Amino acid sequence: MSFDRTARRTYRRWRLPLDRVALALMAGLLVLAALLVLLGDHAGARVQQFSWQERSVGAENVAFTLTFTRPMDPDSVEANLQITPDLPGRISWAGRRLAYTLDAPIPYGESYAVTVPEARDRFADADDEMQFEPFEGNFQSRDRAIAYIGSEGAEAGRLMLSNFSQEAAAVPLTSPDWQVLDFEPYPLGDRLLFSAISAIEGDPATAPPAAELYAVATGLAPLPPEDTVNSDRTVSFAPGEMGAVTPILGSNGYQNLAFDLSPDGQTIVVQRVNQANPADFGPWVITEDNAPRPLDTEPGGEFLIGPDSASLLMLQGQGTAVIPLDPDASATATAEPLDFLPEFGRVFDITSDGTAAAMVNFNQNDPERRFVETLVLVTSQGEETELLDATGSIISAEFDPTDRILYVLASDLLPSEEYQEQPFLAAIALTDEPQPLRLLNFPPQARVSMDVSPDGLAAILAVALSPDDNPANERVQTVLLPLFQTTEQRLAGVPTVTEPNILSLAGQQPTWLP
Amino acid sequence: MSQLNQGLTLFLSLLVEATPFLLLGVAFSSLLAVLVDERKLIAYTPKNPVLAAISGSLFGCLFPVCECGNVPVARRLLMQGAPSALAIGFLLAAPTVNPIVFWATWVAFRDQPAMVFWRVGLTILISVTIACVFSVQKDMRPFLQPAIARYLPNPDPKPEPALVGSGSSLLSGGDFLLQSTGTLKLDQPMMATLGATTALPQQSWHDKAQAVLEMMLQEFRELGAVLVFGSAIAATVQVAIPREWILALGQGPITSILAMMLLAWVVSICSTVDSFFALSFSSLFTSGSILAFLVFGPMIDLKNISLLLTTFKGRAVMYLFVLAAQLTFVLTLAVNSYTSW
Repeated sequence: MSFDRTARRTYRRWRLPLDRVALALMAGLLVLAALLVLLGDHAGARVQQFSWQERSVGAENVAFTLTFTRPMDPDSVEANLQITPDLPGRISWAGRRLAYTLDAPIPYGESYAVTVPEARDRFADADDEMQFEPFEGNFQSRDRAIAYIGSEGAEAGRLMLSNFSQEAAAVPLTSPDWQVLDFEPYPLGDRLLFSAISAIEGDPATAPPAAELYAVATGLAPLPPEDTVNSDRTVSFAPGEMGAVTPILGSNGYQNLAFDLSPDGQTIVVQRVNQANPADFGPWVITEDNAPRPLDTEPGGEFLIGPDSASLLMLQGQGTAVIPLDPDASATATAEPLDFLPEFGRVFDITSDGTAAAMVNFNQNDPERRFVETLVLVTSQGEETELLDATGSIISAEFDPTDRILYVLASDLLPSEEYQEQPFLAAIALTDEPQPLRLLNFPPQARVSMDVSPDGLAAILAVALSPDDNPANERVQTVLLPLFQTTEQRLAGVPTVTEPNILSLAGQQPTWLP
Repeated sequence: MSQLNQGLTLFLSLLVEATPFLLLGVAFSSLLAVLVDERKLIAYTPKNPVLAAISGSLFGCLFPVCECGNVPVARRLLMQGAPSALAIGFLLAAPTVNPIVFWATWVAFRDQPAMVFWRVGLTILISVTIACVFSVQKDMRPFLQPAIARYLPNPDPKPEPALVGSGSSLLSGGDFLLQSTGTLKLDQPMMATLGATTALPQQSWHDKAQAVLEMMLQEFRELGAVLVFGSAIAATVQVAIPREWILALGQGPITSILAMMLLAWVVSICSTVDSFFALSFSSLFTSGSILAFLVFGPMIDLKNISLLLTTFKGRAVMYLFVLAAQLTFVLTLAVNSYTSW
């Protein structure tokens, strides 16, 4: 074969064009590689992404992440990571990503800077000059703001907003034409859900005013960080111009009584009664996409939507029923209670993880304690811990955002001839042997409401007193009570007695924006 | 005993992973041989070697094959008379530049989407460069195995009257398909057939399907055996040199690239799943070294060197291997040293 012979000959000579070009390129690449090795590393590591950059962070955001372009030397990063003002937390690593988990909910109304001025990547020699692009990031916590129903002068009956972080005067959100009865903030504080009756309607004898539900924008539009822990959790968020009102539910022949907004802001439960037929009475469910529908269940009393936004805790008969809110479950048949807690006549609050609830036992089955109300912590495993006995009544209870402390408003019966109750505020650390600590005593017969701030640093209280027991002459005082004296106490979850501050504003039901 | 077990597991897993793709590649190759008229193929392929190399490296989008399936297709392209730049561009780029690998890399490196673009970009750059180097050789026959080379037309027809008038075609070896219209020599280059006759005998669809099937079986038998051999070598090497040793080599910015390239070569993992494998190293190694793994692995690995040797002579495989390795090293080192993403 002549072909084979020629090929062998040319092979021996190494003179084929491919040989020449390939060998030349190989030599060139060898030189280039050597050159690159000699020139060394010119691209230091840097922070690629900071999950809270320019975001408004709330108490529900527990951790931020810093993603680096290279695997880092953890010690060098941890030694140089600075947050100002100080924000205690723990560092953990997943590959080239650092996660910083806060020890306690972030204090509201602050601006923070995160800096990593220098760090070393995993490949750098210890004596090498550090090649790291210094990092500086910024974020804010949400504003410290409260809303309340004004009680005096031009504010009377109007929904008011007072933003402590912006140190501005309280501003009305609703017009004087409405008498606001009750309200609740949406999860990001962008809107308030409220019920109101018209303050200028005609003769109340012929047509009793019916409460309607509205949402009003607070003008706050915090940009929340993406939730890395619960990435599937979405909350209702529709910021608008301050004071812009959206109708939610009209009366349509019904009286709208109490209501509750779910923690994700997407579901509202309203207790309604037909004005023409009082037997037509019960909870209705309103979701963002669906028209209001009655929830087919036994009529009941006080209610609360669970932290999962999917179940309703409602006082029915002699106990508390847990009812599903899912439309599929109740569309076909009556919503069967998921659970029934026969002993407990009231639910005040549920921990954020849904594993425990603060409930009241009226002790109707115990003849010796018949006139004592007992606050009980009930866990989802069915464990019951008695926390506090009150000879008067238990007015409200609220968990601290870390679920380690329960704040209770209750009252004692005063030993006198006429029936007089003295309200007090107590804190109960939820340890193995919970002991109530009295934080504040109020004047006898005062009507008190309480709300713990979302960061757990303070409580706001409204104390209403009337000199002659006539509600028309009631005067309201608003009190801001810091809940801790030192950061150590806060991190350890130890309640302490502090000095209350009396605020200049006066209003009912002061409530922190989340 | 445990080493034998481990080796057997590795061997079988490599085989199970690669066989479907080899089958796919063989199917594409057979379809190409029987159904595509290579006069059209030649007419549509660009004459400029750079353009041919680029179009070859983008061919993978049409034939999504991994590094086992690309060899039969590239071989067929060469046998059909396609420019060598096109075949080499396809050979090196197709396992990476295809929609399945895009998607897998995107899913694996969701936090570093730039990885997908660097991977594809560097693969095309390296493939086109090597394809251009190979295009300087007008007559590829000295670099191909004789079994392949004899099907190639002579680009310079003067010195070799070769096939025309070489007597009865039945005297030469190869595969034949007996049919009513005469004898069709299956592995006869189409160009040669065209040189002898003016038109292909009209075949029915049935005949064509049978031809494709027979050709698939024959190619699969041949390359499957080689794949078994290649997988056995790769499994043996992996048992002999544990991965930990290789990874322990790479603690610096330069050695980590070399370690990941060596790892890619030894583990011979299929390009459709290698990004998930590489992801597990992304917390320990630089982006450049992960990129080196993702670019180099699909081009040449221990398992497919045996497949390459069925087509190319050792010298050509050596050029492919060394050039791909050097280009990968230089480019990913530059990425490591001058970029941060």
